[in-house]
Amino acid sequence: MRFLFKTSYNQDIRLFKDRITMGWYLALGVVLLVLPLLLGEYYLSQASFVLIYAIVGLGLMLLSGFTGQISLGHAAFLAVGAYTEAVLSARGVPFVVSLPMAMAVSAAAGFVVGLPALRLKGIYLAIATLAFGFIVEVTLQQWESVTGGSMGLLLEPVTLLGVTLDSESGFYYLALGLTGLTLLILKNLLRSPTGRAFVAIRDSEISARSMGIGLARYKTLAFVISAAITGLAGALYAHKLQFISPEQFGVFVSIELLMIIVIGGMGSLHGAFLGALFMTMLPEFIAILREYLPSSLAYQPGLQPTIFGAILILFVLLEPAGLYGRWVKIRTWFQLFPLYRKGLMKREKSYVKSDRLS
Amino acid sequence: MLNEFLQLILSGIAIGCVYGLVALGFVLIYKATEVVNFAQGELMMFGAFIALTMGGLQFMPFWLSVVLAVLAMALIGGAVERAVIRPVLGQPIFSIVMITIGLGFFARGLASLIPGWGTLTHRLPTPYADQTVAFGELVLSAGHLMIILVTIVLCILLFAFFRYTRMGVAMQAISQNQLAAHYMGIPVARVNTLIWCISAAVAAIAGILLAPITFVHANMGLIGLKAFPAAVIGGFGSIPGAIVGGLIIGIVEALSGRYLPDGIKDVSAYVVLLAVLIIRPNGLFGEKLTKKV
Amino acid sequence: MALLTVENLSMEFGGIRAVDDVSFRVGEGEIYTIIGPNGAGKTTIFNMISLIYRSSSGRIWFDGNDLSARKPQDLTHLGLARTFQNIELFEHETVLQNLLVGRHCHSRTRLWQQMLFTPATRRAEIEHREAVEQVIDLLNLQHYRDSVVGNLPYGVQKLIELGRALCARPRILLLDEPSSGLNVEETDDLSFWIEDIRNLLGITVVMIEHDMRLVSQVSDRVLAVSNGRVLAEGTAREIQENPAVAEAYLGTREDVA
Repeated sequence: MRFLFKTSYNQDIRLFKDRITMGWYLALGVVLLVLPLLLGEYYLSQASFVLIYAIVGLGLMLLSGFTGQISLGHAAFLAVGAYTEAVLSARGVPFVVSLPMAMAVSAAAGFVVGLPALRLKGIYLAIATLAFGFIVEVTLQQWESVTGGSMGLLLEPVTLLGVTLDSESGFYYLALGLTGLTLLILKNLLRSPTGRAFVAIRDSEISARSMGIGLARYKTLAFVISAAITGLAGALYAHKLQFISPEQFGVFVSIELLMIIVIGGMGSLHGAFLGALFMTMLPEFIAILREYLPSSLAYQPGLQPTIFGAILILFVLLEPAGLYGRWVKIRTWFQLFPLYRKGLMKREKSYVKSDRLS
Repeated sequence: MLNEFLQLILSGIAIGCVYGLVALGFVLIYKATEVVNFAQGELMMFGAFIALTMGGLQFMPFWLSVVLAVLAMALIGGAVERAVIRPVLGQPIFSIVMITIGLGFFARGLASLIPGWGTLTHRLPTPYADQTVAFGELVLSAGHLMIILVTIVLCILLFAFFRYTRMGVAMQAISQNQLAAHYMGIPVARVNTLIWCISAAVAAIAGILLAPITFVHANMGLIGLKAFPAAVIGGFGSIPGAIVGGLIIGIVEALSGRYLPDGIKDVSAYVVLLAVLIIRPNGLFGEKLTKKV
Repeated sequence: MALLTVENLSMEFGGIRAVDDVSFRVGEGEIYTIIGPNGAGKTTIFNMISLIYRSSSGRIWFDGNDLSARKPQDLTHLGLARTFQNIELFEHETVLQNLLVGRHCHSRTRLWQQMLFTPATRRAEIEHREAVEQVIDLLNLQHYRDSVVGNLPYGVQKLIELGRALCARPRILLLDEPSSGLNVEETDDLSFWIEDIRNLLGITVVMIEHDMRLVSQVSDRVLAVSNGRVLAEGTAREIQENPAVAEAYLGTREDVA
């Protein structure tokens, strides 16, 4: 185990804990940059999906993992971003304009959902966001003049400053750049007063408020930022698939987005990436699994939801801290070897804390 | 014109009763354990499938298969509580929401994998199928009438249970304060399991009642998503509230399906929900959620 | 002029008068203690001053501001901070992060500056950390700086809550039963800290307290309440000798007989 001696305040504030950590992340960055040289078309395309899901994961993590607000309708923000991008780019709006517009429209939707969120708590908020998700889905189906109804919309590849990114690697670098930018902005927010206000609201609304944090302002802000980030991912998603239709943004997609952060690990930015990787790879694994199952079972459409559900249950039961939590445990095991004991990370179990006024 | 309107109201009430029964299942569990069971609709779906499978056995009379299906679901409900819910009690609300959502996914997928259930739509044969009852000019199918009658009877039974039995009073105590109930010698864990049994049984009844109207299929549990607005409108902690909420949703849906443009019917429940939440953030009958400091 | 003035404050919960026509004034630099039996309405008074409850009637003035027109989150900006009877910390975060939240009312940077982490944001962050380190030094919390709050002992958590309120650099500090759950030694330390807070930092302290030894050690004036009403006000000694107060705590002779 390495001990860190802090000699200046800057050390607490900076992005990387120390030079060694920075080295690891630089190495990871280099690998991500040369990835198109290492992977074939198909896997590079999957890598782009991982990045898109990671952006959504980051947005959702900010809202649920750091601010403690549950959203069961996040696919709706993804949809708003995707459809805004599709509609604008079909009318010839350049990407550098349409992308911020997609984010802005999505942010506006986030603002609208955030408004009732001020008055709603826990489960009431979850169900209100669920309702929002349904309403957006049905709107997309019915508003045929703009959204094409259930026929969906077609998109062209991204044209960025006159260059058409129609190759897999071109899109990959675009997604990578935007992911990096999103990550940096979130990281900055989290080491500033705004990020601390979010976390304070998550842990205790009452004392956050008594410390001068306006719940209305910061909860709405969390919704707006989260929706904008998700809208960004939506715009990328639309260009990646080059076809969007309402069923890609249904309630079950919202749940899959939540699975990203639960499986990745709540309350950690790493978790968003690990979760995105896991959720992209899971269908691949299921495809491999199919070959080993009896054919009566293998091609049932119910197989995937069954496995998704089982994995979700197992993660919450056995590893509530998600993949990132598991990684931290493994790392600690090696650092402390041979002193690690089983209960080290165990949290004391608490009673059901009721918010009900008794 | 008026007749058509009344007819719509009646069928809305019937469907509303089913929403209400599923919502009742949510409320029972939520009141006792503060767990919101997102898999309530799937419990209902399982109940209907079990009744279907048992009814498929030649020697079994319909009523017996219903009773057995309800009992089987009670057992399944209790088993789910023991296996999955009890270990996560006390964890943040988010974990609990996710685990019941996972349960819902799992149950829905599993139902479509079970041979004989699958992804097809099945018809549950009932002795009262295709019969109608006329009240003057209004005609009500026996299926709808059955829903309304059973809901009334079930509500009376539940009311009596909570009011007059030891176990019912213990459940009320737990819903007020788990720790205090524990200190008073109430076996909290066992009562929680029992509440899941009751809730799953109610869900099974709702499933069997709904089966003649929507048929039995793996996705019929999605009706649970309509029961949410019902439970929330009713305040999520109130048993009569759940039924009233269900009736409101049922009637609004029936009317909006007839008088409003396409597609509005599907979201009308959620529009009503959002409207109620904006006006009354804790539902129509809800208790205030405030932490004491 | 008084820093905090409470005028004819009343609070009703569904027909029950939890607080009934309570008035008092706290001068700048005073240590003012509210005592009373359980259920006397002490915490309710605090909750009304910190605007968690809206009073049914009465006025609260702080430094010339009528608090009834304010929101709870404005209070630290005005210079009023509080602690809670049962600890309300951000328990998944480190001590340092908890204390930094106390600095929230002093953050001046804009959202975009924080997103880009501009030099101005960096400077502000360093200033916040300097302020927090002073509080850490004052309360001897160096040892726990990077520990997650939820795992620390109760006594330390109480201290962190006090520290978080201090980080806001308030002009007045409301402490709700600061010694509850502390052992004798910790309570002794607390009495020194409370005096330091007033003498060194010049912060006015209003506290609710049961431990009469602590009360008589530090308080300039004491207010005794019972059943939501004011019984008496005076020095700790006067209050202890007041027959009405003794009666509220111990019951009358007739009750005993």
